[in-house]
Amino acid sequence: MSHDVPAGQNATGKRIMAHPVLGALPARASLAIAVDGATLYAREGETVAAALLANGIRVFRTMPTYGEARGGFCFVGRCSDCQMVIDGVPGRLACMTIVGDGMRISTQEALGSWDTDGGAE
Amino acid sequence: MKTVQIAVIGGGASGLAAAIAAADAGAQVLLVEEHPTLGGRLRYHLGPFEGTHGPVSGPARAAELIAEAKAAGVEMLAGTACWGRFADNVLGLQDGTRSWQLKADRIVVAAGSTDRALPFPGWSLPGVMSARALLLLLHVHRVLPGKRFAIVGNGAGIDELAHAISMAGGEVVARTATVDGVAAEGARGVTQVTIAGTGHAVDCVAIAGGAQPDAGLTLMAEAAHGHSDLLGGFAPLRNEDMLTTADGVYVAGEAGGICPVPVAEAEGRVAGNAAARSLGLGSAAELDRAKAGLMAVAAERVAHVAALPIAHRQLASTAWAAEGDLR
Repeated sequence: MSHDVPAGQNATGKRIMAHPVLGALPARASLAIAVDGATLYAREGETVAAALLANGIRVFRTMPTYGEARGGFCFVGRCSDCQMVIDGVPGRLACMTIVGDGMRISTQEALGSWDTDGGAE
Repeated sequence: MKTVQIAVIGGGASGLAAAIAAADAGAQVLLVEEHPTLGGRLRYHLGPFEGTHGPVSGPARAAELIAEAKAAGVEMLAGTACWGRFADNVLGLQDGTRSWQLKADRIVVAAGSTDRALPFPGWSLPGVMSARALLLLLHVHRVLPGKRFAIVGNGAGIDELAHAISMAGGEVVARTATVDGVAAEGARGVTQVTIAGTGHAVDCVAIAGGAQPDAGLTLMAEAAHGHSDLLGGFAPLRNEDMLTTADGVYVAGEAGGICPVPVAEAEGRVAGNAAARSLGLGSAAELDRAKAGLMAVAAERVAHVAALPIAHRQLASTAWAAEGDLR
């Protein structure tokens, strides 16, 4: 099929480009996001959780006591397993947060820490 | 404090139908939806569902209802969660940047349901997720989070889930109805699931344990609740108007008990019409039509029960009789 996807959106091949019922993946703008310092591409309007899984990242945080890895579980804002540090604010739910251009996303270690001065700027 | 005649909590099939019915009856209606997009489960269940002009997919049905609600003059706030209900039907709302209160003459709780989690060793590993999470990823976000999948559980819709995985290009390599003898393993994400002593290499496990009503708001409203296996757990008692025992608090859709989409829509139309009628709006004839519409699809709930796993069904037969008593 001749459906074009903006650069980087399907870097890992995990995007469902064609679907027998839903059809071709609708075109959306690409947004650059910084995940633990690396630049990745998301689709405008999607959640942080979806963008990370599309990029092959499934560990979103580690637990405070024993450090086990956690990813998203419910993806509907109930379970709190997907807490990440987003734009310097810890404890934000990756499944309920819509990606923004230039958004800074970090794996949350334990309870995470605040970094509201933006670090880089 | 801002006031509204009818506040609808939830923008899925039942909430949209309730809002449309209430607005068509002449009420001022505000609908809030905690997710960034409206449509509820219609966003990720492909259907087909009965649409305005014949059978359509879930997302297409959502689009129809959203357009209808807009045309009816419903104010809709997506990305806005209702976090509390206080005395005199004052609601607490927040949209991630601010929090405020709203006083509603009537409330329709259409908050939907939450998937039940079935715990087993390794169930918290990345790559293990609820069935609903997987459907959302596949159909809303268009992301295939693995290549080789296992399905654990016997909730309604497991065949739909398996079909969804294969349509998206994944492979279901293992299925089991029970969590007994199931263990997921992996260092920083699931790489294997063991079922009854046999290991299967997988990179995603979906837990399909059925769903339970989101009763948070009706509980805060101190409405009477009962436990029903048919309805999926604790659910508010309600009369034929979908009115709970809390003053001015109606409930429609899965917040009142697990049900298929056509029942959710029909309940929404009853709740929206009844709420409007209680404010002296709309017509008795329209409310009667909505109730007849609900009766017409009631058989679908019975069929839904018939499709439930055996263990649930045995319990459901008594719960069905109990629900009849509540009405």
